[in-house]
Amino acid sequence: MKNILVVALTLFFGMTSAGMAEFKLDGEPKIAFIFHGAADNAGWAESHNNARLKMEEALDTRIAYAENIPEETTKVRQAIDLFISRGHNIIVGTSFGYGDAFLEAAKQYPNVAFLNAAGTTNHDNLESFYARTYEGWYLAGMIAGSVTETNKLGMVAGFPLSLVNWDINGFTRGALAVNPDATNSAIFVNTWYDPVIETQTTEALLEQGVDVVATDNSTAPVVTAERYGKKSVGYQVDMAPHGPKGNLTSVLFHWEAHLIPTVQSIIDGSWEPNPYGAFVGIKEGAIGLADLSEIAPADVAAKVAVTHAAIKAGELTPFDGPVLKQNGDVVIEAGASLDDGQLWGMEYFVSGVVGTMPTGL
Amino acid sequence: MLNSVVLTRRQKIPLALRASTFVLGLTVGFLVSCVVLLMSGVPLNAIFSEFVYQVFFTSLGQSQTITTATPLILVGLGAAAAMKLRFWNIGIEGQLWFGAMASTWVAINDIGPENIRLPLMMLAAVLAGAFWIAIPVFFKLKYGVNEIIMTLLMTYIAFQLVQHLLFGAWQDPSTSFPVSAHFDEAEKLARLGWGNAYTGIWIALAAGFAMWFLVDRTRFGYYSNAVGLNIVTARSTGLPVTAVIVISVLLSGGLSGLAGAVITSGAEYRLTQFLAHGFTFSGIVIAFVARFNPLGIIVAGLIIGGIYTAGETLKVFYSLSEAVVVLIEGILLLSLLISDFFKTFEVRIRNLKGN
Repeated sequence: MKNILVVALTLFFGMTSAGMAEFKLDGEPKIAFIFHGAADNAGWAESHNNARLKMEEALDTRIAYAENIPEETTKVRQAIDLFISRGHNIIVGTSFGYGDAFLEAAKQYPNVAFLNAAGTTNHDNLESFYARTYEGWYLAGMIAGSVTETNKLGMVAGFPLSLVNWDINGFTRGALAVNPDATNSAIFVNTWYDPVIETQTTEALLEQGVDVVATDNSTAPVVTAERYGKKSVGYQVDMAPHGPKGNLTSVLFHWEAHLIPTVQSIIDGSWEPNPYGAFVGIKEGAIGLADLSEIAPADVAAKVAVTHAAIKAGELTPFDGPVLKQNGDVVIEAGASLDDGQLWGMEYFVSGVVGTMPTGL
Repeated sequence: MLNSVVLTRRQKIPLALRASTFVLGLTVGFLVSCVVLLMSGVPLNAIFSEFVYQVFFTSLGQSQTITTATPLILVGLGAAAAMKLRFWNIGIEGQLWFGAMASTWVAINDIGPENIRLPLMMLAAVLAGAFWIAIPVFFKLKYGVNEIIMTLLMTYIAFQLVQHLLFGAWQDPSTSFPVSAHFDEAEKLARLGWGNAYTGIWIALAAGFAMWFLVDRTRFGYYSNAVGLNIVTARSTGLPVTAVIVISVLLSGGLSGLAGAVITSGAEYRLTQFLAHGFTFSGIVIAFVARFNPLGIIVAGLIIGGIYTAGETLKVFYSLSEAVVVLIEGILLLSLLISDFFKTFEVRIRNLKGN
C-alpha cells in the first residue's frame, strides 16, 4: 500500500523536467482558453469560463476561447497550434485529457506559457493545476448532515478516481462532524455528463430514503431532488437556479483566484511553474461555497463559517486523523492528517460512505 | 402547368462533369456557410483573408487536414468494403476500439522484438477488428441476424471493454487516471516533420491503393462487384457469394481496426476513452461520397478532413459554438451529396400538358 502511495506521489507530481530554465514570454501577452465542453455548460467548462470573464476584467484585455475541443491529442494540438499561429502565448487548458498534447506543445514552443486544469503533466513552461475540492465538500457536508431528517445523504459522482473519491469522502466527513448518524450513499455513473443516467440514479437514491442529494456532475440531480421536494447540493457553478426551493448550496470553483495572479506573474516575468503542479484550495480562495439557502439553519451557517476560517488558517483539514476506511482499517491515526500524495492515492471510501468502490480486473 | 421531372441514370460520367459538379457543390456549400457565418457575427472580409487562407493555403492548415484525414481514409475504406456488398457495418467504432485495444496490448506488454513492434501492433489491430466483425457476419450468414443492430450494439460492448481495461488492468500506473501507460518510442509512428502529420498517412494511402488493386484488378474484385450489384444473379451464376461476403466484411473490420492502431501509435501514444468518437458516421459519409471507390475514398477522406479542420479553425478563430460548426459541416456535406446526385442522374423537366 505504501508503495502505491509513493508511486502515486512521485508520478503524479513527477513528470518534471531536469533543470528549470527561466521562462520568458515572447511578445505581448495574448491569452486563450481551450474548453472541453460548451462554455455555458453549467459545469466544469462554465466554471473556467467564469474565470476567463473575471480575468478579462482584471487584466483589461480580451481573452479568446475555443469550446468543445475533445480530449483527442490531434484536436487539442490543432487548437493550440492555431492559437499560437495567431500570436497567442498564454494557453489555458481545462482537462486531464489535454495533458499529453500540452506537454508536447510546451516542448515545441518554449516561449509560450501553458496552464492546464486537472492535468498531470508539467514542464519549464507548463503548470497543471487543480483545486482541493474536498475542502468545499466538507463544508457542504456539514450543512447536509445538519438538515437531513432521514440521516441519509446521497451523492452522484463520475468515475472512481482519487479526485472524485475525495469529494465523496470529504462530504461524508463533513456530515459526520455534525451528525454522527449520517451516511452517504455514493453512486458512480461512469460518465462526466449524462443528465438521463444522473436523473435515474438520483431517483434510485431518493427511493432508498435519501433526502439530500449532492451532485459531483451535472445539474440533473439538483433538478430531480427539487422535483421530489428533496434537498440538494450543487457543484462547480451556483446551481441554486436549478433548485430554488431545495438547493442548500453549491461547492464552487473560483479558478480566477489562481489564474489571475499566475497570469500576472507570467506577464511580469516572475513566473516559476511548480514542477509538481499547483494545488490550490480555500486558502487561496480557489474553492468556496455559494450563498447558503434560507433553509440552511443560522447556527449551521455560523459553524460552517468558523470551519471555513479554520481551513483557511490551516488549522483544520477535512482529513485530519483518525481517518478510517469503510471496513474500519485505519488510514491515518489521530494527530496526523493525509498529505497530498495520500490524497492523490485515495482509492477507497471512508467510513460513513455506503457503496462499493469498483475494483479493476 | 403540370411538369414532370424525369431522372435518368447516366451510363458514363465524364471526368469534366465529375470535377465540375464537385467544385460547384463545394462552392454552393461554402456560399451558404458564409451566410451562416455572417449571421454569427464573423466579418465578411475575415472569412476569406483569415479562414479560407488559413485552412487551404497555409502549411499549418494543410498539415492539419492530412493529420485529421489519416484515420478517416482507413475507416472510409472499411465502411466501403462492407457496404458495397450491402452488409451494413454500423459498428466501425467497435472494430476501431478492438484495433486500438489490440495494438495497445502489443505495445504495453512489449510483445515481439522492438524492430517489428509496430508491424505487430498493426497486424494485431487488423486481426482484432476482423474478429469483432466476424461475430455479426457469422450470425448474419448462419441465422439471418440483422447486422445493423448487431454491429451497432457490439460497439457498446467494445467500449465497455475499453472502460473495463482502463479502469482496471490497464489503468496508467503513473497517475491512476483511466488511460493506458505511454507507449515506448519503438511503438510510435514517426512524425513527418510537417505540423503534426505522421507516417500513418502512408499506411492509409497504401491501404487505399491496395484496396483499389483488389477491387479493380483482381478476380475477387470482379466477383465482389457482381455480388454488390445483384446478389441473386451472382449466386445463380455460381459465384462464391458467401466467401466473397465473408472476406470483404472481414476486410472492413480489419481496416477499421487498423485505423484504431494508427490512432494509438500515431496520435495518442496510448489508449484513451475518447479516440474512437464519431468514426462510424465519418466512415459511412466518406464511403458514400466516394461511391465506394477506394481511390475516391482517399480524396473524400482528405475533403472531410479539410471540413473538420475548417470547423476546428472556426472554433479557435471566432469562438463559434459547436452548434454553428456542426451546422457548417452539415451544409458542406449535404451540398457535396446533392452535387453527387446531379452527377449521377440526368434531370429533364418535361411538360405533361403536351402529352
